[in-house]
Amino acid sequence: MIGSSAEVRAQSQSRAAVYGFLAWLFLKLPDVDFVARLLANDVQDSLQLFSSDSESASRMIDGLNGMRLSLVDGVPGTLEDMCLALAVEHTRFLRGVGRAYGPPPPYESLYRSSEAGEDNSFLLQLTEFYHHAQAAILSESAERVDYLGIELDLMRLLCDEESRATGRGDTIQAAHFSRLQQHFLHEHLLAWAPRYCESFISQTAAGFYRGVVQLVLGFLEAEAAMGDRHSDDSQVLKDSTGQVFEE
Amino acid sequence: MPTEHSQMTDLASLIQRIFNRPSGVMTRDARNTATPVIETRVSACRMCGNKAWCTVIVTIQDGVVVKVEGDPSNPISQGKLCSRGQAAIFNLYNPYRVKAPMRRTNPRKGLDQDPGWVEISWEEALSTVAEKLRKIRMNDPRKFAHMWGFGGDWWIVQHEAFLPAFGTPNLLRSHGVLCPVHYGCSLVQGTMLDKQDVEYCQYLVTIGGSLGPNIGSTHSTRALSNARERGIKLVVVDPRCSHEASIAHEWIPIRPGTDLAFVLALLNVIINENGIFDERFMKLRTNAVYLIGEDGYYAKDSATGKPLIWDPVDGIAKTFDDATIKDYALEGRYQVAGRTLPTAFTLVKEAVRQYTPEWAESITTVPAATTRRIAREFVEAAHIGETITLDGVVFPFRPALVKGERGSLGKWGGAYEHLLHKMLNMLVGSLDVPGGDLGSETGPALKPGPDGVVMPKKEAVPVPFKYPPDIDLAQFYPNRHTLPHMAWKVVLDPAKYNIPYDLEALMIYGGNPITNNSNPDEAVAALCKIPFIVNIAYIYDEAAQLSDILLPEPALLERYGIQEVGTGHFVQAQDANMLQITGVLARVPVVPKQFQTRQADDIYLELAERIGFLYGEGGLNDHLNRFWKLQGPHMLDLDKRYSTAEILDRALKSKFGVENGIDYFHDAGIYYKMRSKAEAYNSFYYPEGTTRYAFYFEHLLRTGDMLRQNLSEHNLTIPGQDMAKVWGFYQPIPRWVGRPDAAACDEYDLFAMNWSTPQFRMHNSDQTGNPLLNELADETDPYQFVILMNRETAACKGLQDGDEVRVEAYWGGCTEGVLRVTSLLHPDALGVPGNHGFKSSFRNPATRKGPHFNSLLNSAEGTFDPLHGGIDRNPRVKVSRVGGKTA
Repeated sequence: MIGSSAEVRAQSQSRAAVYGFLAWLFLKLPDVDFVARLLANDVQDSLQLFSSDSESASRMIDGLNGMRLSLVDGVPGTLEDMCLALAVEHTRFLRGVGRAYGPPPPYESLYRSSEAGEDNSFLLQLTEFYHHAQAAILSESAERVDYLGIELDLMRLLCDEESRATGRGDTIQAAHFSRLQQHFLHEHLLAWAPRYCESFISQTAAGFYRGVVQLVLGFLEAEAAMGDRHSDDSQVLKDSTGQVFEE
Repeated sequence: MPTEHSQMTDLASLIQRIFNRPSGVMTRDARNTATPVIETRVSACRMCGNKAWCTVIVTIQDGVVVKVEGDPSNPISQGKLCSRGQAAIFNLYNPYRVKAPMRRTNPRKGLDQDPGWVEISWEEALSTVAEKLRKIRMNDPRKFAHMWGFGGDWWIVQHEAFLPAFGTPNLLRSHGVLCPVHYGCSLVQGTMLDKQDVEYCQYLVTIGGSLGPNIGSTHSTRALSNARERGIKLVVVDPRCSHEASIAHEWIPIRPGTDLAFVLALLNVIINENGIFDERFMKLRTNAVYLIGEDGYYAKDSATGKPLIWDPVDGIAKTFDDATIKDYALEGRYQVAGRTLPTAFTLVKEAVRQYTPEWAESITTVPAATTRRIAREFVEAAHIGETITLDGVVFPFRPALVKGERGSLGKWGGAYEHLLHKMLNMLVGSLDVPGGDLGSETGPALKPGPDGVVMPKKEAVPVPFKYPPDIDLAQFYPNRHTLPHMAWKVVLDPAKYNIPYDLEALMIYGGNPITNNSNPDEAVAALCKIPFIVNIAYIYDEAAQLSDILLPEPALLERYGIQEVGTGHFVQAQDANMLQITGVLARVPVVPKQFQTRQADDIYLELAERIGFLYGEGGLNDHLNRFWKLQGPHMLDLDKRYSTAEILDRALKSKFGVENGIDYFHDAGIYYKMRSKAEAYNSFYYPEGTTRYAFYFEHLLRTGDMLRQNLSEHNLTIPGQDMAKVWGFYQPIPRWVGRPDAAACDEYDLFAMNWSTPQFRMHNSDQTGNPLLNELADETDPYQFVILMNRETAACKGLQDGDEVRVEAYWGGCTEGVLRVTSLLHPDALGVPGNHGFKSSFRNPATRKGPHFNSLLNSAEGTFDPLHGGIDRNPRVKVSRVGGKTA
C-alpha cells in the first residue's frame, strides 16, 4: 500500500539518496571528507544500532560495516593514505584492468553477453531508454551507458524526478517516473547487477569495494522486493491514480 | 520491530549523513528525445597493424556502432573487409581498455607486481609527465627515449617531428626485429618495400612469407586469387603447408632457417650450370659489367672517377656511360693499365659456384633435382626477350619472380638473402617491369648515383657514425631496421656499450617491447630499471604494467588518422587497380569518445607546449611543417597552438592536394587518383640506359669499411660481437653465413618457426583480446594456439596429439603449449604460430592462451644479423612432455 504523497516523496528521496550514493562510489574516488565521515563514531554507533529481519537490509548494513571496517582494519596512516588505498582498489575492482586482476568490470553488456563485448544490443537498448526518459550523461563524465555507476545514477535521477513531481502535485508525471524506474530496474539493473555483485563477492576477500558491492546487492534486493509490491500497486495506480496521490 | 520501509529510510538517512552530494552525472535533458537514428559513416580501418588502405562503412544506430563492413566505393578493397576490420566494434567496446589517466603507486616493478594504479586527472598526468621531461630536457635530452610500435601508426604529430624538437636522438621501435624486410629493396630498388605484380606474373616463387592469403590481406588475396584463375604458377617454399601452399602448384617443404642455401643454389644453377638468363638486362640494367679492382671496389677511370666496363668490340675499358660503347663484357678478366680486372659478374659467378644443389640439399633437405627444376622453370617462365606495351609504352615483359618475406628475410643471413632474391630477379630481368618484382614507391626510386647505379635509399643509407652512439647502437649497425634488443642491453649496462649516461625516461606509444620481441626477460629487466615510463596506452599490456603513468588513447573509430596509399606493408600481391591508384586515406572520429581518452597527437602537442618546445624555430610546429612538407597558406604559424584536426587538415591540403581537406573525409575514407598503367612501373621513369641495379654490392663493402674505419678511429669494436663474423656480412657478394646456433647440443634437434595468422596479424587493437577474433580462430583454424610437430617426428619422440609440451631453445628461452601433430610440417620444424601466451597476469586471459614464440628467440650478439638487425627466427629447440623427460 502506498501512503500519502509526503510518504511517497520521502521514499523517493530516500531511494534517490541511496542510488546517488552508490552511483558516486562507482563513478568517483572516495575523498578525505567521505572517509572521515564514514569513520566517525556516530556512524559506527548508528550501524551498531541497526538490526533487521530483512535479508536485504542486513546485507546493506553488512556492506556499510564492511566498508567502514576495511578502513579501520586496513591501511594504517592518514586519511590521505586511506584514500590512496581506496583509489587503488577502485581501479583494481571497477575499472576493468584485466580479468585476472579483478572481477570483470561492471558493464551490463559484458554480463549479459556470452562473451565480453560481443553483444552491444544492450548499449542500443539503454541509449533508447535514456532518450525515452529524456536523460543524458553530463559531458564531463566519459563512461559507457551500460556502466553500473551510470545506471545507478539514472535511477537516482528518476527517483529525484518522481519526488519533485510528487512535491508539486503532478501525479501523472510522478507515475510516469515511477513506471520508468520499474521498467529500468527490471529490464536492466536487476537483469545483471545482482549477478555482478554475487560474482564480485565470491571472487574477492574483505575490502572496501566488497562492502560497496554488498550494499548494492542488498539495496537492489530491497528494490526488487519493493518493485514486486509496487507492480501490484501500479495497477491500482493506473486505475485510481488520483485517489492514491490525492493529499 | 521496524518495518522494512522504515529501515530503508533510516539507512538512507545514515547514508545521507555519510554522503551528502546531491548531484550525479545523469541529468534531464529535454532535447535528448530524438527518435532513434540509423546513420552510416565512412572511416579508414587499421585493425591489422598494416597499411592496407581499407576503408569501412560504420553503421551507427542511436549513437551505438552496430556494424563495420567494407566500403564498396574504395577501388582497392572493393567493399571487402577482413575479419579484423569487422571486429573493430570490439576495439571500441572493449571493456578492458584504459579508461582514464592512471598513476602507479607501487614503486616496485615487475610482471609479478601489482602497479597499484590510481585514476588521476589529465591535468595531474600531463603536469607530472611534463615536469619530468622538462627537467631531463634541460639537463641532457638524450636521457629521454621514445618507443613506438605499429599500434601507434597513422599518427599526425609524428615522432620524426617530436623527438628532434625535444632534442633527443633516441627513437626506439618495439617492433621490427622479426621483420627487417627492407634492406634488399632499399639498396637495389630504392624503396622501403617491394610488391609483386600478379596482374601479369606467371611464375612466382614465394619463400618464407605470404603474398596475402596467409595473413588475411583482403585485396592481395583477391589479386592472387584472380591471378591463380588466370593461371599463375605459384611455388611455395616453406617448412609449413600454409593456406597459400595449399592452393599453390607446388609446396616445397624446407628445413627452417636454411632458405639462404636454397637461393644460393638457385643462383648457382642459373649462372653456372644452365647459363641462360636475361643477358641484355644484365649488361644494360645492372652493374654486373663493371670492372672490379683488387680491393673489391669498382675500378674507376682515373680522369673522371667513373666506373669502368670492358668493351669487347673495341677491346678497351670505357667508363660505364661512354657513348661509344659497342658492347659490354659480362664475363672475363681484362688488362687495364697493368691490372687484371674481373667483371662483377665474373666474381659473382665464381663465388657461387660452390653452392651446388647437392650442397644445398644437405642443409635444406630440398632435393637437388627440385632446385635444378625450379631454376629452369623460373627462367623459362620469364619470357626473356619479350615486350609488352602499356599505354603506348613498351616494357620488357618478365612474368617471373622470387619473393621472400619475414620468414626468410627477417633473420640471421636475411639481408643477404634479400639481395639474392633481387639478383635472381635481375637474372630474368624482372625488376620494376610488368610481371615482376616492383618497388613499393614509384617515381624517383631508381635515381642513380654518380657511379650510374641506383642510389641506395631508405634503410640502405647508413646511419651516420657518431660517438657515443644512440642507445639502440644504430651507429654500430648502420643498416639496422630496429634494435630494441640492443637498447635493453644498453639500459642494463650502459658503460659496456660506451653510453655515458643512464636513460631516465621512456615514452611508449603503440608498442609492447616485451611480448613482441626476443628475450622478453631482458626487456622486462631493462624497463624495470628505467626510472620513469609514460605510456600512451589502449590496454593494460605488459609494457603498461611496467609504466609509471598511463595516458589512455581513443579506440580506432574515435580518433583521427592518415595514411598514404601506395606505401606500406602487407599489400604484396597487387593487381592493376592497386598499382595504379595513388592517394591518401584519412580518418575522422565517427563516434564520440566513450572514456576519458585523448588522441596521442594531442598529447604530444600538449606536452611540447608545457615543456616549452612547441613554438618558434626548431620547435614542434617547425618540425611538423618540415615533416608534412606544408606549403604556403597551409604552413603552421610557428607561434600558434593547433589542434590535431587542424594539422591533419593542412597536411591533406598541402601534401596530398585534397582540395577540401579534412572535410572531404567526413563522407569518404579515401582520396585517390588513377594513373596510367605505365606510371605504375619504375622502369617508366628510369628506362634502359638511365640507371643500373646493383648486382654486385660495392655499397655494402663500402659501408663495412666505413664502419671499420670509424670504429678504429675511436679504438672500438662492437661490444659483444666477434668482429670477424661481422665483417663477413659486409661483403659485396652474398654468401652462406651458416647458422648462429651451429654449436648447440644435438639434443636441440628441431628448428622452431612461426607465422602470422589471419586473425592475429599484428598486436595493435588488442587483436588477441578480441572475443570475435578468438571465436573465429577457434572455429576455423585448428592450428592456432598450439605447438605443431610433424606426425612422424612426434611418433619417433613418443609424443602424441594433445600432449602438454615444453619447448626449450638452445640458449635457455622456453615456452609451453599443447602439441598438435600434423603432416603439413617439415619433419625438422616445430611450429609455434601467432603471438600468444602473453606474460602479464593482469591481462585479459584470452591473450594468455597458447604458446609464446618470441620467448624462444635469442637476442645475444652473434645471433642476429649484424646488417639489418634481424633476430634468428628459427632457433634450435628441444621438446619434452610437461613434467616428463626430454622427448
